[in-house]
Amino acid sequence: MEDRTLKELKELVEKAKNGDKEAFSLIYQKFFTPLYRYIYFRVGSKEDAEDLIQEVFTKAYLSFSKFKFTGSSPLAYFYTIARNTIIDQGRKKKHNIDSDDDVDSHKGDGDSPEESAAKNEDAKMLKLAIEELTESEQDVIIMKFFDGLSNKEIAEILGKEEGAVRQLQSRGLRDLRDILKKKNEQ
Amino acid sequence: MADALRLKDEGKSLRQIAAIFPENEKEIEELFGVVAFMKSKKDEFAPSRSLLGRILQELPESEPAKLESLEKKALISEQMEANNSRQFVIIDNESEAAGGEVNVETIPKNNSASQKTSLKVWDYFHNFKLAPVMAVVVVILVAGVSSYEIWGKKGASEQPPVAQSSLLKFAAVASKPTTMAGALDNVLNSINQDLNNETSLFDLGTADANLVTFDKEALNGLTNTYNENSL
Repeated sequence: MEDRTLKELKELVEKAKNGDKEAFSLIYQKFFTPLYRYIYFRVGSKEDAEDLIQEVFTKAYLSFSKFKFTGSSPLAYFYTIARNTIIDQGRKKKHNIDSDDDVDSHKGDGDSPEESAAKNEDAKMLKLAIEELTESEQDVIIMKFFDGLSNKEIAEILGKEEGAVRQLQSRGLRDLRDILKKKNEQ
Repeated sequence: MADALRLKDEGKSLRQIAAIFPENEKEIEELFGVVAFMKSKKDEFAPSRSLLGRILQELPESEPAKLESLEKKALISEQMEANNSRQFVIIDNESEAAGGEVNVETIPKNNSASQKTSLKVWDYFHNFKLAPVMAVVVVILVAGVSSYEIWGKKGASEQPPVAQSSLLKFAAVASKPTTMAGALDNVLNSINQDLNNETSLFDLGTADANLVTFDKEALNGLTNTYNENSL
């Protein structure tokens, strides 16, 4: 993350800690999508993901005054709350990908219905493949390749060494490749 | 593969990485292909646009503890404006956490000059701006008290009695005429008188020397008083 962006983010965080709701809103807007995506992959359904992300944001909101800006992205803070919330509630993944409304939230503009359907099928396949990974692999793959967190940030969130995070990445990618190959062959 | 991913993080291209690990080139291409595939699909997993607005609407108005503090600050501020008073606010965290009252001490702001001055002086002290000056003042005062004590003690017992009157005696002796005329007695008397005068002058000199010694001692006393370790 660039220094300028970090500086702006730090200012936003300070305002939010002082009760500035608009600053909170801006932070949420910034982190909403990656956080939702993480929760969605972890719990497996849109409904659960929507319920959980609301809970996560409320928790983060109520405890935000305790947040200390250390130079890392505050996304790690939200991820930690999300991860703990998922674990606490013992949510089980629901494999309900047959539902048409599961992965269809953003169709590309100007896509034909055929193209949209193909994209949707690819997304469903990818979601299924990721769900077959171990939880640790999922955490790392989602945080790294969807949300762009650094290995250091992921290591902090997961409480692991950076080397272990790198190993999880390579192992997860290999597993994902194999799973996708199998699904393509079916 | 972990090393290949690390190089990718460092900004190396697929071609560069494949050149470093030629024996794993095929696998590296496949895995980087998976990464590219995931990145191309990430927007497919975005939340509905209305969800964020809904969550923000349903959030509490503000963080409770913070809100409570802000409300109290606003209340105190309003009271200050209303009462025209200077307020010192002591926030008891425990009572605040328990939802208790915040202790507020109110001091009338009568804007008197003395109050302002004392506050300013206190602020000045508080900021340690006057500390060096005050240290010097204290040293001078202590030195003055010590020298006074030395003079008092020595003045009573050790001060030579001749010291105070030595100049007067010298003037009296010097003004007496020496007569050498007439009889032997007169001569002897005159000699004796001169001897007495010389003795007196010698005494005066001794008295002055004692006075100088005394002054030196007094100065030594002052020097000792300035010793910072004794303060």
